[in-house]
Amino acid sequence: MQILYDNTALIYLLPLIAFLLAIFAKFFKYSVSEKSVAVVSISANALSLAFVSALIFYLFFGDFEPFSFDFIWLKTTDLTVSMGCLIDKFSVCALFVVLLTALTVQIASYKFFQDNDKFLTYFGRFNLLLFLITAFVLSSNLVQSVILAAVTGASAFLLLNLNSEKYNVMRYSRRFLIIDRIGDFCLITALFIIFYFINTYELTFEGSLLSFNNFNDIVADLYVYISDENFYILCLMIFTGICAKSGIFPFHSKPAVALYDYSPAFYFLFISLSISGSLLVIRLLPMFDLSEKIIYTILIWFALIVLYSLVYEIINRFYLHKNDNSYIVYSCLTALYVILPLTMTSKTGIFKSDLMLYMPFIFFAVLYVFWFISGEKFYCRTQTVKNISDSADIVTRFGCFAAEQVTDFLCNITRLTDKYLIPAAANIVGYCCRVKSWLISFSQNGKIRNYLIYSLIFISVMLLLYLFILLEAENINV
Amino acid sequence: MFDITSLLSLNIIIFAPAVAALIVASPLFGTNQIYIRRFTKTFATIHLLYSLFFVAYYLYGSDNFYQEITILGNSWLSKLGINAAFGADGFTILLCAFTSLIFLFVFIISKTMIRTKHKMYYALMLVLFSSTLGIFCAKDMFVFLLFWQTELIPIFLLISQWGGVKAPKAAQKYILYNFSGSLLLMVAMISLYYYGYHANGTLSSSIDFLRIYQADNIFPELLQDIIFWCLFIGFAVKLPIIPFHTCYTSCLTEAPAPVRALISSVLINTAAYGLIRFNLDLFPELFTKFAPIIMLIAVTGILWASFGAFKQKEIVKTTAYINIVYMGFFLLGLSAANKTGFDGAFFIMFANIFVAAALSIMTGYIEQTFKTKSFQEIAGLGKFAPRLMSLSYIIIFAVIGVPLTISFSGFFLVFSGAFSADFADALMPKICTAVSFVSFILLAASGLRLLDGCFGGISQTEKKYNDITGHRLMVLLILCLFIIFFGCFPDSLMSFYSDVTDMLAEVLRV
Repeated sequence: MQILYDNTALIYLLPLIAFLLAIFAKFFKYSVSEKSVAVVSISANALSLAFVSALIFYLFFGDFEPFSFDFIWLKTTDLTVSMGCLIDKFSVCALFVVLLTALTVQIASYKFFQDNDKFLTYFGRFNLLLFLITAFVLSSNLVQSVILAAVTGASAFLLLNLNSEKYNVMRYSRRFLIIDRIGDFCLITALFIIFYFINTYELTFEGSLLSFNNFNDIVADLYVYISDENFYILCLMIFTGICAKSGIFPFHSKPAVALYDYSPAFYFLFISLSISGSLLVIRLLPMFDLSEKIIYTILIWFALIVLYSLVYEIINRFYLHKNDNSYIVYSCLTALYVILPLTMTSKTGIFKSDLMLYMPFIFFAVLYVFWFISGEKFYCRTQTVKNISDSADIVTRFGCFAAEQVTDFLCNITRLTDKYLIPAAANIVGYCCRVKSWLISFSQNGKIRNYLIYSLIFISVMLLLYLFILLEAENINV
Repeated sequence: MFDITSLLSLNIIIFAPAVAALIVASPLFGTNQIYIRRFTKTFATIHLLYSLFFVAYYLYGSDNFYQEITILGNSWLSKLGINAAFGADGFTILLCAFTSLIFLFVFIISKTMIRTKHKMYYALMLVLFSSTLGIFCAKDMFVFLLFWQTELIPIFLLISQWGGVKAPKAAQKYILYNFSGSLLLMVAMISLYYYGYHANGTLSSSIDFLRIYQADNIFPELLQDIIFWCLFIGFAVKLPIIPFHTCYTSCLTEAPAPVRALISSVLINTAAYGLIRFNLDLFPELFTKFAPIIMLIAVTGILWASFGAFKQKEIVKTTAYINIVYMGFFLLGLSAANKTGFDGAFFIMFANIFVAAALSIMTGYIEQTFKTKSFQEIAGLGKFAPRLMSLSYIIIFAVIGVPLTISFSGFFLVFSGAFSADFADALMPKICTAVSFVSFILLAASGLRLLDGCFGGISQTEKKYNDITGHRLMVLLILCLFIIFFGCFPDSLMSFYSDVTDMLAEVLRV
């Protein structure tokens, strides 16, 4: 199985090839057909997924050890930035979710964008994002993670901005990127502070110093030189950066912005945002572990988000009779997604190596809940879209916002996934779709009773998930 | 055996454009614009290839590449100790090659953007070409000043003759400011020259000789301070640094797009180069002493220009303020007075060449298409010009410093250099860096506003616009490729000037 070791770069190079092909086809219009681009794109994604599946198998059940490689990207006397690739259990699990989501979305997109003049642009931008998010997940050090997180934000902006002729799409995607830059600002500032203290007040940048392989030692070094207050501020700055990048309250309007101009890419965008946040949290766990204050702050933060969403939801539902609650739900989800690992660290005795076993469950659970919510969102779409100035254009362009059409559309995805994907993944997605259809029937008319049932199921799933993880944590602790 | 270095001559690099200007101005081509254009483009291509020989020789031919020549031997004003001396190291050679490249691009895009008085236009451009290269290679301060002053004449004529409605006024303002700056430079240089003579009994205006004077601490402290600030302000006017920026923004707004591309990408780099060669190289101790003040000036400029870029109602003015922000970052890196800061400052210089040129060409096309500069009257170009929009995304991403574009490495190095600056007040560089970080967000907002304003929404007129094609597409595409290439492989650029920054950092340490 040496071949797996030797060709790890293929995981992100395949989407890059698909991206370059889409660009080529776009510039030389008649040389490559749209269908070929889509086929290559989906195949590249599927190959990457197969590669990652093999890695998962050998890492979890075989004799594979985590491994990494680095090369120097930027070097001066006082500064060295390395780029590289770290394959461990966590990164492959995260990759599996990213690539699986991307594959389902690409298959759905093929039908969705058929006969659309932006077919190639969409596939090009989608693959660019996929390439960057894959490289981000495989980052071997913090500097690389921060750099790639910034490019991923810009790439997500490109995908959101697909229908830029619509004024609001342009306006909202601009807001998305500015919020993303705020996240970058926080993370880069934190990076400088870390370097400043690690080098005992003489900033010498060395990328390998912040390698994830020995992050525990780095944090231990850092903790010697930094006061508790400064350490708290540093952690808070990192967490704020993560919130801005992942669309967590108070930066929660980010996913809503993404939803404005609906396309299947939203699912992937949501997953990329969440993964970028949760991955950074997981990688930086040793830091958060050291400060009880920051853990409590984050928990209070989380409680505030939940409270805010409840109040927001109640006001909107019962007093304003508005249906635009979804984005706060997404914020909640992402928050849960990111904060969950944090709340389970030193307090429950789970180590990072154990935690990564649960990450796929968390990812799938969130995916599951997300599909669930999306049902309602589809229905809301027909109502909220009327309030937007260029709504008519959206409806005529995509013409699938009516409920029946959406159901058909989802059934098509289910069929496609059943046909093409590996059975396990197909079952999960298909199951989600079927459960979602069932739930739609409850919340169809927006009645309070149906809504309560819907909310109850949603909260139960979340609680069950949370309890499951905590109980498992307790078992391990025992 | 045939020695290839005998073919490499700085004389040809510097003076060939001047000779070409004479040919263009002569009656040889008459008023046939096609011949004039073709001759100029062919000449610029050959010049670029020739300068690439220097680059190749630097990379593969020599371990310690440094070439210094003196034309006319030592006979030129020898009694006054003034020699027409020129020299080039890796940094200068790369600057010359990029200058040559940008001039070639400017000649190419001038085809559709310049409609009248071709003979005069191309002749003036070639004079400007020659004087810019002269500034980069001069090793004598009076020769430097000569080229510095010569540059002003073609710039004045190019803006006033081919610019917009208010161009003559803007050109006058630009010249007035820059001439005042040049006077300060002249005062500083004459002071250096005469004081050196009185102290040492030898007349010389060689930059190296002056460095020796200074190292021996021949000049009194007060005189050194005055000379340092005269030089600084002289270069700051052209850089431009707040509050001397008004002439720059108005001149850029009125200048035709090709001239704008030159001013914003190449000509402001001459001022940056002057700051490095004179203020930093000649007065390292003073530079360290005044570095905190320079850092404050840089941060103020960055913030001011970022806000300025954000609130502008005209696309060209927005790009002008973006240039000022870039030059602010250059100054911030320089003021860090350490190796990383210098590396960042130099990188920003090179990044600005490509980003500013690409921005100018992009805005020039938009301005020509819509016949307006106002954001309010431009909308919906994305529908008609998807190619231009795709390239504009790359350019704007570079402007806002997205990683893997050329500016990011520069920003990163500048920030890390400034953050670790070793000042008496240890907190000050940290605060300055954090404050300048804010402009990162403002820059993103202005850049995206530029994109929104031009490509977003639906066009209010029923007229159909054309996408960018042909020579302009090619030029913009190549610039974008450079932006991405140097963003992905920053070391390839830094290897050219790391010797120079090493030397500068070493001088400061001593």
